Amino acid sequence: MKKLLFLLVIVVLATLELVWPSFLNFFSCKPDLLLVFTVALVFYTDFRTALLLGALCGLTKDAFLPWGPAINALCFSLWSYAVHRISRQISTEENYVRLGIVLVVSLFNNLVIGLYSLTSGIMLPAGIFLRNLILISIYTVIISPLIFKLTKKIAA
Amino acid sequence: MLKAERLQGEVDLLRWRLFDTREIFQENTRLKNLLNFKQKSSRRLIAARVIARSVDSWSSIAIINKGRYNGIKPGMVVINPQGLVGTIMESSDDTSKVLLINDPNQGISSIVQSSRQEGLVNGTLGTHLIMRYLPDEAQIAVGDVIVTSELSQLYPKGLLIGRVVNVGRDFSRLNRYAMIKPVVDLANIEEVLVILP
Repeated sequence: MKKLLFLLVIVVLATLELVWPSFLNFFSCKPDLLLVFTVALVFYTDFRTALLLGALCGLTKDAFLPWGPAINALCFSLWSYAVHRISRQISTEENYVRLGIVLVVSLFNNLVIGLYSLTSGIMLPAGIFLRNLILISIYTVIISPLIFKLTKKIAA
Repeated sequence: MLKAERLQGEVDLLRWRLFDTREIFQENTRLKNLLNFKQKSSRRLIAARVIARSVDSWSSIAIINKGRYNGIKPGMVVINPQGLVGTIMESSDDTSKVLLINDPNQGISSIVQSSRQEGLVNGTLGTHLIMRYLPDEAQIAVGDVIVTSELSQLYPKGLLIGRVVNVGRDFSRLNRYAMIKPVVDLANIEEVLVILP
C-alpha cells in the first residue's frame, strides 16, 4: 500500500513539475521536486525501496526531456546511494542537516546535467549556467520541507 | 442574518462566474486570432493547445495535445500568429513534444530581414536568443528583424523570429553575435499551430 502511495506521489510530483505555473518560476527556474523526493525516500524508507523509487523518479524525468540517455535515472540512483552512505556516517536527524544534503545533492545534480549539456555541443552562456546551477538548487531547498513532510507522513 | 448569509453566498458565486467569464472571454479572443490567422494563411495548419512544459530548467520544451492521429510528425514546424515557436521533436498518438526556439539544442538558419545577412540563431534558455557567426562587416543593428532563411531545410522561409536588442563581439574576437528578443512570449504560450508539409 505504501509503495503504491509512493508511486502516486511520483506521478503527482512529475505532473506538478510539468504544469508548474510560470508565475511561480524564480528567474525562469523551477524546483526539482522529484530530486527532493528521491532524497527524502532515503531518510524515511529502507535503502532498496529508496534506490528503486529514486531510479523511477529519474526515469520519469528523463521521459519528458529532450536528451536521449537516461542521465537522470543514473544520477538519481547515484544520489540515493551517496545519501544512504552519508546518513550512515553522520547524524541526519536535524532538519538543517537534511536541507544541507538536499542543497549539495541538487548542486551536484545540476552540475552534472549542465556539464552534460555542454559536452553534447550546446553553447550555454555562463550566466545562464550559473543561474540554473545556483537558483534551482536554492529553490529546491526552499520547497524540500513540504516534500519531506509528505514523505514522512506516507512512510509512518 | 440568514438573508445576509444567503446574499453573501450569491455574491461569492457571482464573483466566481465573473472570473470564469473573464477567462472564457480571453480564451475566446486568443482562439479568434488563431482562427483568423489560420484562415488567412496559405499553409496547412493544425491548431493545438499546450498542456505541459519542461520538467526542468535545463531544457525548453512544451507538450501539445495533438499527435500522430492528427498527422503530426517529428520535424514539423510550430508557429503562432506572432511568429516561430519551435519544432516537433517527438510525437505519440495523442500528444507531441515541441522543442521551443529558446532551447540550446535548437539551431535555426536565419537572416536579417533588411540586410539579408545570414547567421545561426540558437536558444540560450533565457528570455533572449543568440545569433552567431556574423562576420565583422555584417550589417546588423539594434531593432533589425530576424526571419528564417531559405537555406534552412526544416523551416519555411520568412518566418518571424524576433528583433535584435544587442550586438556584440565573440569571446574569440573573430565573429560578432546579436542578442534577439523573440516575438513570441515563449513562457506563456497557450495555443499553437503546427505547419503540415
